[in-house]
Amino acid sequence: MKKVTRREFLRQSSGAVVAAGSAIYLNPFELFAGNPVTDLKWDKAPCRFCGTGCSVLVGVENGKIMAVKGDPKSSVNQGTLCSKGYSLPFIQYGEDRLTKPLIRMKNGKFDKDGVLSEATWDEALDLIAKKIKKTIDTKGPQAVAMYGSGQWTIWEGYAASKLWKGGLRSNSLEVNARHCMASAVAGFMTTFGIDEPMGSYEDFNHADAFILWGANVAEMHPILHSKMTDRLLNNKNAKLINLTTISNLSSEFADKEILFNPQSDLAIANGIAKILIEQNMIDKDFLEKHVLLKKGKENIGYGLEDNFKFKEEAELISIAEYAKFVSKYTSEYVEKISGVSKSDLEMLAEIYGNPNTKVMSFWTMGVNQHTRGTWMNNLIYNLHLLTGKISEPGNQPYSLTGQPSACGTCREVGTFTHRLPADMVVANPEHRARTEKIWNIEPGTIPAKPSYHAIAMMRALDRGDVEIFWSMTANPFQAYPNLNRYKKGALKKNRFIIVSDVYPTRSTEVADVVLPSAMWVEKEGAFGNAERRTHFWKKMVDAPGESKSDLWQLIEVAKRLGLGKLFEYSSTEYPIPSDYDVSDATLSAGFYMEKAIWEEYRQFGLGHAHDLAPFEVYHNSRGLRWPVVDGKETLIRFKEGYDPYVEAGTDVQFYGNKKQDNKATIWFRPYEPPPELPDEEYPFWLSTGRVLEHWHSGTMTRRVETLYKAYPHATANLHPNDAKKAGFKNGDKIRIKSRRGEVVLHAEIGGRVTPQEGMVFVPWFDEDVMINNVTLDAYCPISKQADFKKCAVKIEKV
Amino acid sequence: MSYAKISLILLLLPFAILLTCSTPPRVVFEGDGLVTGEPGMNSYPEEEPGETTPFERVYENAPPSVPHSIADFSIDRESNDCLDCHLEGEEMDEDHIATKIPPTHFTNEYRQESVEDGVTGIRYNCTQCHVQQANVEFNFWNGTSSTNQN
Repeated sequence: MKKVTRREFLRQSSGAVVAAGSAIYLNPFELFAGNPVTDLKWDKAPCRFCGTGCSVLVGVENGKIMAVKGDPKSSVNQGTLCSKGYSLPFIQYGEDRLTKPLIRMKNGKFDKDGVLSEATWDEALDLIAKKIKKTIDTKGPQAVAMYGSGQWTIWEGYAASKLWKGGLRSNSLEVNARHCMASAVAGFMTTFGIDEPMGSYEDFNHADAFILWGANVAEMHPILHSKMTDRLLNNKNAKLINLTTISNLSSEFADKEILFNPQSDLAIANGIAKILIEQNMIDKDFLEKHVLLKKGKENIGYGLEDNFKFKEEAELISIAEYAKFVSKYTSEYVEKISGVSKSDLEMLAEIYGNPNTKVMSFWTMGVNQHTRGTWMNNLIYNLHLLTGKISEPGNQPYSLTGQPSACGTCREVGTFTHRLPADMVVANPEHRARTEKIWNIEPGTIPAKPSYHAIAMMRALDRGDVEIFWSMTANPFQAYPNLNRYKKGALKKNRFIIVSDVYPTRSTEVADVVLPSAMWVEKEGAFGNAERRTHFWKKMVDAPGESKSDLWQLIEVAKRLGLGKLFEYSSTEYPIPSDYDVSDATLSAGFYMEKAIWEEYRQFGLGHAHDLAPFEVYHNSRGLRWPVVDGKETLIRFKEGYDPYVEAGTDVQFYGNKKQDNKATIWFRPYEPPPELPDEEYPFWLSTGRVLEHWHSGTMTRRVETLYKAYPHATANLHPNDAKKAGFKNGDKIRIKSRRGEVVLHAEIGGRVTPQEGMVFVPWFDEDVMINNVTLDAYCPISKQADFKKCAVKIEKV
Repeated sequence: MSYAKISLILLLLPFAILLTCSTPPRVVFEGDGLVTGEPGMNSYPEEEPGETTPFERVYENAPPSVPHSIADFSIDRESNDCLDCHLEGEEMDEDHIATKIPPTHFTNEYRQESVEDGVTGIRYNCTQCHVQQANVEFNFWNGTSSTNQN
């Protein structure tokens, strides 16, 4: 190994070049090179937590996970992990792990007013099947809803989609990813006509500037933050700009923290576009060849009404018309709305506009959980399209994703009410026909109309239009906004709630049936991360007690509904491997279920720019970034020489938009205010989010001692001036109240994050601080993603 | 086994059972009442570096937690206060030696590179792995939750 000083390191690392479409299949025997510390048996897996998709080596001894380490040969995390990743050996061993099915019973029979009591799998599954049949008979298939997650494995999501849309004839399939990255998907579809980032993490090594748009990567994507700091340490001229509503850990490494008022990111992006055009910092040649401009509908609403509808009305505009629209966003006007100074706005424009600066923009929940989330995604793409800084090493707009397989499962498999695999939609008859053919089901089976997106689904449950709600790998009754309404809805008569999970949660509290699930390496799995990397793992340990994988659960219910043939494959074609442990689903089926599903699923993407490799390839690699064509993964999409789908001589081709001559769309999207603004009665903004040490609703991470102690409780982070004015001291017990609900917790002043004046931040991981009783269920009319970042509250001392 | 020993075991058995069962599940499946716990406040050790004993690693090669205050620490492009003591394993006094950063932090195997005068860039954010431990008992199951019915 070479020895270098920091100075040499700088030169060498910045001199690295991204290889075009490099094939990096690995010799599995080299996978765990290095010094094994004990005689543990090591195998590889992606991390269970965020969308970064770090590669983890898992050490097992006597059927128990004893240790993990960051895979030193992984290009993602290069040997390290964050504190959550290092806690992986403990997440499955909480004392109250669910190990038996439970049915709410009274006098030995199912009763909504009963007590959750132990039952057999047969009793639980028979009851579920009976209820589903009855509901389909009385209310129709759309009244049976499945709510999954970006933490489902790819085959679990695929099986759920096939069972629901191809079996039950119900489009009532949604995922918690709707609350996480639906705006990102809508942004990609409206701008590029195809989902998911064009770049990969290799781009970090080439960027001169990282711009964070409301994304606290230091806590939410720690390893990606480390990849940024790595670049910043090794390239003195590289910059990090943290555009945020809250002063947070990502500011520590930033050259500049720019605080802006909630919702005003819309004005900032338009203000930058205006400067780019006026100062002639746009790439005219690129615009002419690769871009169309459009204007959409305005004053589009907020989805607060139960039967809210939205339909886009788009018209083509010229660059001159676009320039005229954005000309309203003068520095003065932007400053008035956002609080961002003229000089900061000009600095941002200079970064985007300078042809010598390679710039990457990053965003996640700040932009996506936004009543104008789709617009905000469009607006960031606008900046990269105006300047031609896209689809080349170090020049990328980069939409980050929250969950380990929000991309792999939810987006690519299409586990949403309106979607099908490989970016297809139920509303398109050709897409339905193609899906029905691959699924080998009767033409006309898949309903042509989407039924309920996530918020609408919960509202339908409250109204009674949905009667059965099955949650898997999610905790909706802690995670939904405006929970007061929805929790009450779930407890109403004639509602049947099924929760498949590993621990008791706020959702199992309202469940009528609880199914104990196998998790992570207790089953065979596949996740897809935020750089289109599909990553497999093998089963390494047994699930405790009677726990079963979600895949097994879905197939068992299918069988009981007479739909078992959806999951019947050939045992000669898919024999069970003898040299490693297989899942419960495979053992029950008598053939290699995961492989059979994979090979079927893969047909959707082949030749359609979503090509995935054969099954075994993934078990012998650290994951591959699709499209994988001729054994080669794709590091940069839409770029000639990198992406096999781009035609020779075109340089760049946004082939997702074939109908518009392979051109991407710049959208004019105005600033519009949020539905609820602080006023005299409710004078504070409330923003919610996560902390580094806890994953989502904390059900796994709060059961790990190190992580629990690292951040035991959710507190209310306040600005010192606000606390002083209100007379709160650090640690005082306060009540946060909105028009929908309230929560009691402790005020924290000078904590890890400091919101701007007039704002309070509360993380949602703590089941003792149900902040989502307070939040607002307004959503982006295009993406239907809820805004968890903005509502009006008052704060009182308790 | 003597009679006395057996009777002692029998005498203690209920207590032993009581002890092992003294951790009730956090969420109790009784009726449809919602379990409510108490919100808490986070407070972290105020001892300065050199005044504390290192935490044991929770498994071999797990990143050890931080036992001392890091309230005024900064980790940024200009400086990394953690490295000041831990890079070389500085002797604070005869009883307190800062835990020396292991060789894994100076090399990046993926890039086949090592750094001589600091940790590799990807490991520079010490606190993303090495977390503090608040002054609380790990009472997730039995401490903060009660079974009040709403």
